[in-house]
Amino acid sequence: MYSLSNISNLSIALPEIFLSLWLLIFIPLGVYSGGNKLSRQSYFSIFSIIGLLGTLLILLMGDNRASLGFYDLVVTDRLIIYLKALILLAAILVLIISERYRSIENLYLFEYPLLILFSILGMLVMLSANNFITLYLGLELQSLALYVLAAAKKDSLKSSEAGLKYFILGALASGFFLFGVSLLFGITGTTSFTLLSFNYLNTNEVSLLLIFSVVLIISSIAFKLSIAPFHMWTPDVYEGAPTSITAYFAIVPKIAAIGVLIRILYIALIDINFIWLQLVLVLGLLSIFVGAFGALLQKNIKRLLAYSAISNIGFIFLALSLGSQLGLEASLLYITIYSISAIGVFTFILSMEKDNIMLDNISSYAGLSKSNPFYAVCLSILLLSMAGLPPLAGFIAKFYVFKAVITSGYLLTAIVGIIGSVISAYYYLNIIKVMYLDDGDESFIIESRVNMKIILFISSTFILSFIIFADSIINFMTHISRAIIL
Amino acid sequence: MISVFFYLFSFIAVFSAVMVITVKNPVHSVFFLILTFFNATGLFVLMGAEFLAMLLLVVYVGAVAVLFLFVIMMLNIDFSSLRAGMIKNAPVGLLIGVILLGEIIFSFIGMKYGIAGIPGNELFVQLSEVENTRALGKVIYTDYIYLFQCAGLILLVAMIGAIVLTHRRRENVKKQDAVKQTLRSKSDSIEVSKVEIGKGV
Repeated sequence: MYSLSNISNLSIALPEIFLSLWLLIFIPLGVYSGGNKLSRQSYFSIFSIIGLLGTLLILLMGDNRASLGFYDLVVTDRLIIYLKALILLAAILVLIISERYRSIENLYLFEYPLLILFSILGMLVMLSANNFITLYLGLELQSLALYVLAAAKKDSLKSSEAGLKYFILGALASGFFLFGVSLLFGITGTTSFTLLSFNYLNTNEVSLLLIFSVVLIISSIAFKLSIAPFHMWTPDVYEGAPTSITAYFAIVPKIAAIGVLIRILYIALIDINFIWLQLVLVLGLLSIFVGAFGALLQKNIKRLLAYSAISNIGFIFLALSLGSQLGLEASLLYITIYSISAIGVFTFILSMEKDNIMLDNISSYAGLSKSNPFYAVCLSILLLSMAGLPPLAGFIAKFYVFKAVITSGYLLTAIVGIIGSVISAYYYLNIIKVMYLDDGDESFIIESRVNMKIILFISSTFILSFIIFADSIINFMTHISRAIIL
Repeated sequence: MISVFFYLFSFIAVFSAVMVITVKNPVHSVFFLILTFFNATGLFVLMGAEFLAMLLLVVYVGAVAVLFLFVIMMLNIDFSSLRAGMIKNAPVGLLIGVILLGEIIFSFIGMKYGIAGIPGNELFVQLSEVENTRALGKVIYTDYIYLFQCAGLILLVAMIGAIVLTHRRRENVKKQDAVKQTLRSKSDSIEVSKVEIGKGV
């Protein structure tokens, strides 16, 4: 406790330390080796992918037993290691698929992969936080990098608008978070999750102030996750930001924020779960419906996917609102399947380009089944899975959520959730209809890189064949979720 | 002895604070502000808050006041127009002054009933052997080293972000390239040509 030379103490944060050292090498390297030249961009991407792979390696080689370090500011266990690995893998894939887009849109900045690495570092810090202060610093490190990335396309008005909007609303959410945490500190006298978990002496007498602080903390995390009614920024930011950044936004920070939410709700605030159970449930149902109805009339695929993300995270909230082991398992399964299928969908969107112009409108996908059958089939599988068609992975994810909800005795909630899911199936099916039934330009051939094709193929195959190895994956999720004992 | 220094510092501080808002020349005004800061530093040292004193010196005198000075000297601000709203804004200033005066009066009333009557008095730190710079250093660099490093990274991201968003590579900017200059040879930089009488080059 009193000496930092204790190596087991440092090894808890070894992935973070490695990644930050890698970043510190990256900055001078980028500056002195022509960071803004087109020819060098792929080197920087490869350099950052190697950094992420190294971090992943160190993470997986490390001890996966639960332990605390750095004077109880940092924690690690199986769940955290799993989520970190998922984040790193998703980030590597997003970096690979955004390569081509960057050359089309002239995003020749070495800061682009650099800021992505910074935000990954922030997410790793966030996930292994055992203290609200650590969590806040991780959150800010991640968010600051993301604000800049949203505005990375300097010559585009929409991109600047997206960055500014995200920044102002994000700063507001951070303010709420700090206010909530300071109230909580005032009431309980600590900001440490482990201390908070057994610090409510009398749970029968809960003050109004405690409820207020819990609501503030949850709503700020809900903002980061774009949960309704804190979702207003999402469609604008997703549309305005460069598409590769939108792909990053839709997948990676969501995993981190879900992990953080699990840690706050299931460890720090588990004794007072009667305060947040209904709150999280209502937020979840609300965003399922906002996501379903908001997407119905969208013409732009990026806006549509923003609403789709809102409703998907809504299902995760629904699972988390149960406060039970089963809900935790279901939410972990859901976020895993969501990120894999979202990577597939965004790989498709990032390869939709004609004469160096990205095709963002759904109507431009007309006739794709004839001109590019491979892409059409892959996207159809992914979208059907998101809509929740039975043999696909998305169905199993939703099935587990509703199973957990019904086992906990909320039958009516499950029915309402299923109705929301059915409504959202409409717009997924609409895209498939446009691709297969509408007439379009038959000479349009998608020229994409082989690695993007491989990623699209793998993700859709995984979604298609998920049912075969569903058992072992679900067992694995159960094993992971046992890291948090309820 | 301490009270002599206290009255010295506080008298100069109040005097220079008054001068800040009364002198005509804005540059003199900033210099009086710096003098105020210096005397406040002295007061902090007398109270035993040496870390706060150094912070005031480094941050306010070293950075903020110099920034003020730069702003005044670089930007051509018309100060007579700034003074124009004096009568209009006087009620607001008066209100703030009254509120501050009220706070001072309340604290005097509180003092009369002793320290026990003031809420939060248990927070009063006992004087100890460890000076507060050392105590702060121990907290920041030992207990919270992880958070300190994270905060450093956040500042780094903020700096990189600001550069990414505002730095533009401009065309047609003439820059001095020392290597290129020294590597120039006589043959490719001077051209000798015969100029006929009565005609230009």
